[in-house]
Amino acid sequence: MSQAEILLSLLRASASGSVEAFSRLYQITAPKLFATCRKILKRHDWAEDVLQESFIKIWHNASEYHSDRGSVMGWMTAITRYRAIDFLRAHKYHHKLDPLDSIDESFYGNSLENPLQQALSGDASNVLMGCINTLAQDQKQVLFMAYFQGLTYDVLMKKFNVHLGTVKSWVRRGIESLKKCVTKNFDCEEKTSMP
Amino acid sequence: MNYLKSPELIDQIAAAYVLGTLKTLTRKRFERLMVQSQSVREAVWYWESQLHTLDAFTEEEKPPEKIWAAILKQIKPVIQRQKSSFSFWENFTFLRGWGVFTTACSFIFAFLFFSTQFSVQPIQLRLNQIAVIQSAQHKPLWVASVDLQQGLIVVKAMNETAEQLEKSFELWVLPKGGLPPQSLGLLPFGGQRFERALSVNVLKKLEGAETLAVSIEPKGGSSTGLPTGPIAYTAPVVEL
Repeated sequence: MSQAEILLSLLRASASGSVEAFSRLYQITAPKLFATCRKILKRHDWAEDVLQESFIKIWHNASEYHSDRGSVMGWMTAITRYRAIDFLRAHKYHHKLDPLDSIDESFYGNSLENPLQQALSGDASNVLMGCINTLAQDQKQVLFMAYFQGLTYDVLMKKFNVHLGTVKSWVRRGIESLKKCVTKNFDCEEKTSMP
Repeated sequence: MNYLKSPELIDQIAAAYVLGTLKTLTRKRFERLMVQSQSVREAVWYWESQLHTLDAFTEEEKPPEKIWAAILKQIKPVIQRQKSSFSFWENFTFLRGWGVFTTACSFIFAFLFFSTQFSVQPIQLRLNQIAVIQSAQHKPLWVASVDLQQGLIVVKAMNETAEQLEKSFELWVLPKGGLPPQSLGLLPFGGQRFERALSVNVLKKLEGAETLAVSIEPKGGSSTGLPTGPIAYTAPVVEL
């Protein structure tokens, strides 16, 4: 049985009120989701708060999950990321933090050791990664910074020292190229897998 | 501007929403749009399924133990409330109507005495196996959880409508090695659950089993020890 099927069974059992299944679901998924929180929020205590709130939301909404939402892990990631982004925005505003201070430069450098480069040089069969590799450097950096650090257009504009329109255009073009590339690859895969 | 008339624009904003580039107010406005429109939700789900694969490259980090304890604390009261839906306090209200204070007190003392002497603790399962029995439309009907160490099976009914049937649904394990099916009991209905101790013999048949099956039987279940009616559902057993 695949990991995705195990997570689906555990989520369904959690929806029926099984704390044991929810505990197992937590054990399997929390390390990945905690890492996601840490990457976006940077502060350990904030990441802990968001992880806790996210799992409580997952428990209460478990029965609302359906396969149209994608994989169970994707659904749980969405809940956690959106909570982390909302939390980040609320607390940065509250604490009047400079969003530029939170950018982790090591993530986007050109060193082969940095996570961006590792990701891009990783699993070549991953369609999305293959497509990201085809993007212009600016588009790539903007998309990764937005995704992994929850940065808004405004912050990205300051970071790259360009106009708001330019950042929006990078994101828009990046997304358009990604969608075209992913759809094209998906169509190719479908055709080659047909008897 | 009516965003809903422009699928391309919806797609762009959905991607920006999933990426996280929208400001708080725009995010909230877009979330309201998601509630209203299926096509907006689908655009978001599309980008979630694409972009969340990026998280595969995030290295896992074990959260501190205290987080699970805190989660448990917050979800447990909900479970306790659900378990105690048979309300002693509803009866107590009735007694108050009588205005007999001493009778009420004696009930309270009796309740306290019996609850401390004979309270039924909810069984803590160490989950080893789980199976979710689903309808053809993939709606969960029953969830079966097995604790092989304690020799217990807990089955919770998720369906509300099957109660009306004049038949019984019986749960079977199909042991490995092609041995005949073993009954695990009649299935509950309408949100009810049963907890049952399993014999060593049944536990042996559960170990390594890959499938549970549900047969439709006459009221009261099969009288032969084997399924007599059609198999209505099967479910894979997930080993944990």
